[in-house]
Amino acid sequence: MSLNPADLEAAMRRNDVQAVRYLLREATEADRAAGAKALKSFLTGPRRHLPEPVMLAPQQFMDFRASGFQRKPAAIEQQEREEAELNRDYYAWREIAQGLAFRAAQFGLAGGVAAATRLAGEFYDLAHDYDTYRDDADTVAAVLADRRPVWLADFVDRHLQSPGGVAAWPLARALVRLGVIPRPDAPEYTTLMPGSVCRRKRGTDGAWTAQTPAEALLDDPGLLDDEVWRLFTVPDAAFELEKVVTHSWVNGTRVEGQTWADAIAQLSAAGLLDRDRLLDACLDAFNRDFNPNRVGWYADLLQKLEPWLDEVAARSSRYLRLLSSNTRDAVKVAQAELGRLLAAGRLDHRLLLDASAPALRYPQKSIAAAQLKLIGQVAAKDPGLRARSAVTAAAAFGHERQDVQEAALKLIGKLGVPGEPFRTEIRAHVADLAPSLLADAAALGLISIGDANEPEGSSAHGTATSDASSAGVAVVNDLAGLERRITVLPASAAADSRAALELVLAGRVPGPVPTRAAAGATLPAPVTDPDELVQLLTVLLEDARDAIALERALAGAVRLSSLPTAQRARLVAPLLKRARQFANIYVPFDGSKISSDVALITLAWSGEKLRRGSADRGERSYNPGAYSVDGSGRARTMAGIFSARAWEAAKIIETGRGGVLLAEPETKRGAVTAATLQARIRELAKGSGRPAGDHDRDVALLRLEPGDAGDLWQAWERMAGVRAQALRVSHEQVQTALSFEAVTGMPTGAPIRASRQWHEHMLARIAGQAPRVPACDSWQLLTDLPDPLAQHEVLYGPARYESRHYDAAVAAWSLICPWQPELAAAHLLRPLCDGLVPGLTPATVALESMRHPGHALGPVGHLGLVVGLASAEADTRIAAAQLWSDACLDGRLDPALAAAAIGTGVRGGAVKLSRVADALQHASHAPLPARRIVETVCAAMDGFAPQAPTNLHLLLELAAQLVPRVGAPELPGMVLDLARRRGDTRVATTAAQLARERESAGTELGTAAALALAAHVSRAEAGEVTGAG
Amino acid sequence: MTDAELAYRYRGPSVLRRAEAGSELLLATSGGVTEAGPALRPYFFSGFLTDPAAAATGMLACAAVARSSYYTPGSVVALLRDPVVTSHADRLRFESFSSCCGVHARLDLLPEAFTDPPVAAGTTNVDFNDAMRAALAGAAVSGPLLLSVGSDEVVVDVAGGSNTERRVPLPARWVKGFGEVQALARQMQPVGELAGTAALRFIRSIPRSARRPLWASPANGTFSLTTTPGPQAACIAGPHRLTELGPLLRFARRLRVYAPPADAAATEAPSAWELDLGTARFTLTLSPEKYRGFSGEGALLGLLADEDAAADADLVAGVLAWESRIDVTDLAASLQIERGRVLAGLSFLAASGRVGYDLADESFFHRELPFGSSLAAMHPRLANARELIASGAVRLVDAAAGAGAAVCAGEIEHRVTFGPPDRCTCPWWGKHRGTRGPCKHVLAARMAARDEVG
Repeated sequence: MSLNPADLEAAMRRNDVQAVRYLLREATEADRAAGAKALKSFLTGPRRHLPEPVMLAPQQFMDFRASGFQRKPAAIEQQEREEAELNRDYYAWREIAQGLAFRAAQFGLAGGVAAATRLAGEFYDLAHDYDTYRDDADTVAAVLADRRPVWLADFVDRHLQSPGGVAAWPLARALVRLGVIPRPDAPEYTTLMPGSVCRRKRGTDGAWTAQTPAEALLDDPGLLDDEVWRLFTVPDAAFELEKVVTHSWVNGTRVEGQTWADAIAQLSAAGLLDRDRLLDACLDAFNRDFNPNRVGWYADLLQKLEPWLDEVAARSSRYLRLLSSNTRDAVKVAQAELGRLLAAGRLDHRLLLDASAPALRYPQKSIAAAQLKLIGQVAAKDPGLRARSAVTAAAAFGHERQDVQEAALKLIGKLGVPGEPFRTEIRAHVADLAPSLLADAAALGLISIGDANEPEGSSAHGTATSDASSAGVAVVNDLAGLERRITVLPASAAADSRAALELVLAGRVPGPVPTRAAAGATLPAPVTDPDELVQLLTVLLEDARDAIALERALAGAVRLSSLPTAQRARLVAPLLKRARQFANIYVPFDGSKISSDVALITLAWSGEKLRRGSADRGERSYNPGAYSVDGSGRARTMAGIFSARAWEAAKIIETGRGGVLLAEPETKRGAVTAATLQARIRELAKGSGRPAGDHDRDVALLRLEPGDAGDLWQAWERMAGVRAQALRVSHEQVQTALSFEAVTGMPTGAPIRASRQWHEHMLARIAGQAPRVPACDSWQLLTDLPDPLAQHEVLYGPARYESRHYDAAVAAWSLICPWQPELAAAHLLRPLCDGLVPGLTPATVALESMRHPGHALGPVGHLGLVVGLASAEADTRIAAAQLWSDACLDGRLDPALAAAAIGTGVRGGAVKLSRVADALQHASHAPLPARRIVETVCAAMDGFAPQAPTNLHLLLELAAQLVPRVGAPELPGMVLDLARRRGDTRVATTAAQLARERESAGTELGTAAALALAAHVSRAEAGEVTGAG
Repeated sequence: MTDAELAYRYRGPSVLRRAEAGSELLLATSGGVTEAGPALRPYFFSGFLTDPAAAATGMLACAAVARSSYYTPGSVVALLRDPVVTSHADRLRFESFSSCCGVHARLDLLPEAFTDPPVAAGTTNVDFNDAMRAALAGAAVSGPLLLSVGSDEVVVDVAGGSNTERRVPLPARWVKGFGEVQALARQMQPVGELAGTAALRFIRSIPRSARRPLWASPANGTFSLTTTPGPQAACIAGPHRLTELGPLLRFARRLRVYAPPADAAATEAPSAWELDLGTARFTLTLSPEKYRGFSGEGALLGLLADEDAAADADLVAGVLAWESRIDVTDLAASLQIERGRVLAGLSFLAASGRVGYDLADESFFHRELPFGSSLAAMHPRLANARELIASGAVRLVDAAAGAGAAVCAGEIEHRVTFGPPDRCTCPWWGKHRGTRGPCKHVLAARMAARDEVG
């Protein structure tokens, strides 16, 4: 064996890199394998003894924490001393292992590609001096180059793809330069280069200086032959190039250095890089299927290269082709250069017109506008092409922005509408124009006046038909039918509908329906079939978001717990393994995961004794609100109410005597009638005679329909041990109309997600004092909302940790107090506000829980809706738009309340108008929701005075687009003021546009009005109209 | 289930040649099947395209899907498979399947798309290398474009057999999904359609990302988006997966959307988005959720477990001859079996990758995916169900009344209740409730019940 392990170990011990290289240089693979075997214990080092856990008394821990973890308790100091003694050998070895010689030798002895890759990734695990990372890579490269293992290229590819540890690109490049591997094909060899190629060094003053990219490339000229050109063909290389900006520090001030684009341009100017090839490579890069948002660097480089006119002219066909690119930077580059050619008279005008259509429909307005400008220039330069230019401009009628369409119409007007056959070609595009521009098109003679006034359903809107719109047309056609339905309404209910009908007949749109909460449809009979219960539990263990199924399963498990234990155990046996998995993970009934509650109910139903929960809660003083249910089983947050009830139910199930849950919902919104409740009390009296618990009673009271409950209270008194009077008063009090105020700002306490800062919230506080209720603690819990920003952490509880699982909890909230939808909405605002920043949140579920027409939307409901519209996540915004549409059609949406909520949210910094406008766009297809958008925008305007908030123009623009379809109410003063303003700010322009459109007839106004009336009539027929309207 | 490897052996890379009179796109082929049987490098077509810009953009979109993974990180790009071309007597179909198994794309170049029809029928892989794609995207294809799929030149292979060879992993789930998407397409029906400009505006209005599936339903001349299902609604899960439609929208005359029938209680479902490009059609089919490939659907397991359907599939396969539209009635008449049996056989073949389904034509077409794989290996649930039966784990309960079965899986006995819908007490069923086909217990119980009756 030519390799002496003892010599090698000695060289490693004295950190002699040169000696290590020398000793390994001539070694064969067999020598290395033998050496590795001989040195195995030295290379792996002694075992490190991990410290044993130290037990601290609560007070010791509190003191330790109070000292900022500086004053160590004696037990910790003792443990540290013992640990140092035990690890004496390990620390001595670690000193050696941190040396470069040791780490270099490891590569010389590595058993294969996997081992080498692992070593490369762990290179700096023990030694942390990054100052020498380039030299370290060179050393490793030298050792590997001496060795030349067959797996070297594979190793480099693997390390480039997972580049932690030893610097991957410098290592790869060094090996390429040494000629021991070919240039790697891995894209990372190119994408890592921009950030790795410049060497840095620390000066004597400790400050870092770095090479410029140009210096680095000149330092390693081989890069100019190949690697530089790969930057134009590898995805995301441009993105990396854009990120790298070298800088230096001069007297403590950061001085920006050379960019990569500067460097390439400089080297090109010096004749070191072929200029023609660079220009072509940039243009080709735009055609590759790179991420369109990551190719801006090529445009930057093109700008730096400043192509001469001859160069552009020679590539004119490529620039023309770029007009159809889906990359904004590419189209902008093309437009700029083609503009230069056009001005210089060196562009074939016809070719430009032929290539213009894609740019005219490019989503970004500035691109389409620039293209129209180019077309205008062509027409000016070449009068013979005026007709063809007009036809080309008409392609912009297909642009989604109305102002682009308008600009195209203006250009055509300026050029003059050509005769046939060009006129026919333009007319083919007119169908794409917004309805409000049809009059302008008619004025140009592109269509007849009659066509301009053609109502909805014209070919301009494609061929998809709509259930909603066809229903709307049917309603309009059956206005007489609505009148007949009004005549048979009871007098007390008819007044509101009659008033609405008068408005419709006067050509106006009735407002929202003054509604009260409604119970919703009756649910199927309670679960009495054990097989059905098992099926429900099977599903709920995996997905507990169906709140009604959850309630049915809970009540069914209690009801069927009187079955023999053996029968229950047999029936539920297939679920037990899964249930135990959940039960072992989560603290029992703590309100953080509903599936865990289901698991515990399943286990209890099988006859298993549940472990007691109180001991699992521990001290909560460190984290108030960490548990939604405390150790005694009392709910502390809205999320805890279901878990507390599940805990109560589990205790009943464990007795095996069956029973009844008083709070089991009878309708889709969770309501219970007095008759049903009384029947349950009777059934309970006949059976176990024992109610489930306080939370069951509380929720039953909250769910019990308003009104006279007859002799329910006496029967309940006997059962509950609470005075009948207290129950009756409690029921009356929990129906009290509450008054809320919106509050905006940052919550106090720790953020829900520790990695993030708090964001602005819009929550609701109870104004004044909610009534004290003698027999319903849950009511006190729900109405304890004097300062929701300060209480946020406590009220939200475990969602801080478990937001991924919180959908199921939130889905059940609106069922808890079906007759107090505003109270439910006040709590739902918390998950809704989670959605104001990106991430997976329960906001969508919160919105869906408010969709039922029986969930009346008051001021707080509208706050919730607006927070949903302003969500950072598109799907939540779309869910909010859906709620908007539904609430318009069932009469719940009040534009005045929506406008107030928008105003409050915007002023408080919680709501962004750009998101609201985007969301409302999704609700704008149907006539009545569109009309309500216009009304809301108009109502919101005066609230914004005197300072128009950011992106107000987007709301105005949306309204302006809708007005020709659905008309508008009186425009507020602020819109008229803005419209009269001089200048071309976007907000003034869009206000002027809205003011202009105000004169439109509103082609779908009749449908919107009839649909609004239909909502009034339907609500009146259901007896859900309050007298307030 | 072990993953195989697919070796592409092209004679040379596909290239775009520029000439004074226009451009010539030579697509290199590798492997596959023709009317004459398996072929090394088949030659199918050479002719001018009538709308080169649309066809080229469609081919690039198809290639983009093949190179994309819409759920896993982009670093897997290098491992991706090439598109597949099927040549019929009157049309060419380019198909690709994303690496994440969740997006299928097909470009149908219709008879009007070329001046001369294909010269042979069959299926093969085609090379879409970086340089060719960049050239095709950058080419001014407003001029004439001559397309060749394969070469009719007789070239004597040098030792080694090929000039370029590339090996890529061929996961069974990818092959399975590629086949199953066709069978799932057959269950779809039109949801609505939009004319060109309305289609462009609608597609652009779809948010690029959404954490939960969206539903599109016709509304007042466009489609409206919601987060809950309803009748006449198509599911869009992972809307970023519609990106490849973008470049094609400027050629689109019509957008048609297809989806399985839905109602308010529907769960996430696949959907197909078809752009009518005049002389071509481009169809993008999305899986029900962005992280869920077609391979896990299992909707056809019941059919695949049916030995009668397997026998009918063999019967049908014997008479297929690369038809671009398979006439089920004609086939039933020629085979002298019922129409339903022909359809079952075709669905079976679709799941096996041997026929495709054309939504616009509402018909199957013959094509044989150029990757061999056994059906059993592709459907582990089916294999597991057979194993349960073989081990005697299935005990029918009240078989005469068709009540259900008790199925022993390890130490747990799951109860299967025959429906519809069939139900089980296993966690898999609890999670998916039949939306991804039957669980292995239901499948085994159904197979055992069928055996009992049979």
